[in-house]
Amino acid sequence: MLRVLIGLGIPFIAIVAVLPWVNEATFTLFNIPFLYLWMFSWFLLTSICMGVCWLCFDRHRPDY
Amino acid sequence: MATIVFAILIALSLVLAVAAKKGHATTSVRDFFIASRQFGGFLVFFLSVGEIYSVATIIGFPGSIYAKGGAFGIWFLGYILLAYPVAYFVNPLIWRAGKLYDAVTIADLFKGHFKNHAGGRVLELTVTITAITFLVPWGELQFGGLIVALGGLGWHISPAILVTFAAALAFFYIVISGIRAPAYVAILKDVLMMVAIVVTGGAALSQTHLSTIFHAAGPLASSHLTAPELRFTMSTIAFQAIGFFMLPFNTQNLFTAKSEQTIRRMQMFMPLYMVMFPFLVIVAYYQLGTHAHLSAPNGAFMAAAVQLLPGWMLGVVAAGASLAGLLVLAGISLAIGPLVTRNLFGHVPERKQRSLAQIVILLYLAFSITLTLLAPTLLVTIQNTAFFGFTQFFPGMMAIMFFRRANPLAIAAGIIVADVLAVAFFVMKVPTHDFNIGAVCLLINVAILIGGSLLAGHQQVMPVALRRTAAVPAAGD
Repeated sequence: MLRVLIGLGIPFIAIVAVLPWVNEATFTLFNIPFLYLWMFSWFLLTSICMGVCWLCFDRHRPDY
Repeated sequence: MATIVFAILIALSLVLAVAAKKGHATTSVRDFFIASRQFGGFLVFFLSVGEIYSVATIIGFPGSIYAKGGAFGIWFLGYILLAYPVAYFVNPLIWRAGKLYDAVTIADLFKGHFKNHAGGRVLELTVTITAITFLVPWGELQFGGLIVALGGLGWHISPAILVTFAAALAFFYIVISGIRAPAYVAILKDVLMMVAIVVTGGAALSQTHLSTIFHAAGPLASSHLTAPELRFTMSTIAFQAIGFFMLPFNTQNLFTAKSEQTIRRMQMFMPLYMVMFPFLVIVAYYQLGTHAHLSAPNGAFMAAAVQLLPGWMLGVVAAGASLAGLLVLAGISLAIGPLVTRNLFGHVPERKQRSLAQIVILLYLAFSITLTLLAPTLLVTIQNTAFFGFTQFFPGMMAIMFFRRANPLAIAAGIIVADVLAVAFFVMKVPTHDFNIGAVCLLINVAILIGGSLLAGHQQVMPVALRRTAAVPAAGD
């Protein structure tokens, strides 16, 4: 269950569930709107979530 | 100069397609359509991203931001990104089902799972016909994008000839080497497309400054979502993320992998590949700030490339964008062929499937070309429509993975009702309070699947997730 929470739950919360709040943020960097900054950073963070799943849970599964 | 570079790169792709065949001179159906399940992570990765980031990405995505404003890009980024974690958990199971049932197509999964069930054939046909129907707009999407990409080369050739040329190339790839051709050509395509996007984005940046680009685009480019936009964005992201690997060619590409672990290992790197999107956003905003009145918004990216880049580099951009479209056409063709010969007709002997499939593919390409020329529209609209259909496979897919009492007729009924309603709602513009139409219909689909299965009786089939699991903890735990 923890595996699904880390690998799938966290990205879903970040991209869908909290979108209404991310949408309200007025912070910008070089005038790039926060909504875009948020999405771009989750490219990396989503990979990390899956990487954690792989390293902690899936790496030693029998491979067939 | 652009034309010469373009021609050399396309010729190179043909060489790669021929080289892909080397050492695999087999004529078996499985080798032709799914490479005999031999690909390692590297080739599966390129084959997958090769067909995920299509001409809709390089042409359609900036075009939609240009046409509809900054907020519109968000759902596009979100759904592709979230498709990967969904895939990390679901795709190994799809692969396992493919192995268990010796599948070539997505419909083979349902056929194999319910082979002792009276309703199995009905479900197989439902999935087959739905898949084929919604692959037609996906082909139209590629042809539409190809016309724009090739248009950047400034040839004075009618679109009809351009798309026929494109279809001939795509057909040539697969006739030579089956699915091995798109896998190898994908490596070239992805290098070119990445270079094209980064260089065009970089050129836009060098003209002005990052902060000026976003400022100059002004209110047009506001990325604040209004309440209706927010509902659309959130429901569309969730809906299309789960539908992503229900696209029949994406499913089929998974079957080329060697093992479940191959798929997991490759999946976790997929989001990193999205690094090209910031550059596409920059190009779209640059166009909004400098040339806010293009007559065809789909042309926003190519117009920027034409303004900003030297001729030879424009050839690279056009080749990258075109190969992206061609690869997906090859992928769709390789999906449609066996769907018709194996699933729709049902009784074609294996040795004839390949040649018959090629005839089917030609007919499909001709039909898609006709549609493209008769009904041009904003590319992303077509894309959304196709997802209405494909995502409806997801509940059925979950059912064969986890639901012991799943009934094939209930799954089929869910798919049919949801598809018909989605198209009807879309055509008649039924208000859904800005929630994604397909997502609303997906809920109806799930209700029919579960309700119907529980009412239908007690015949049980061992779910895929529980099969061969002696040494593996149940997936999804």
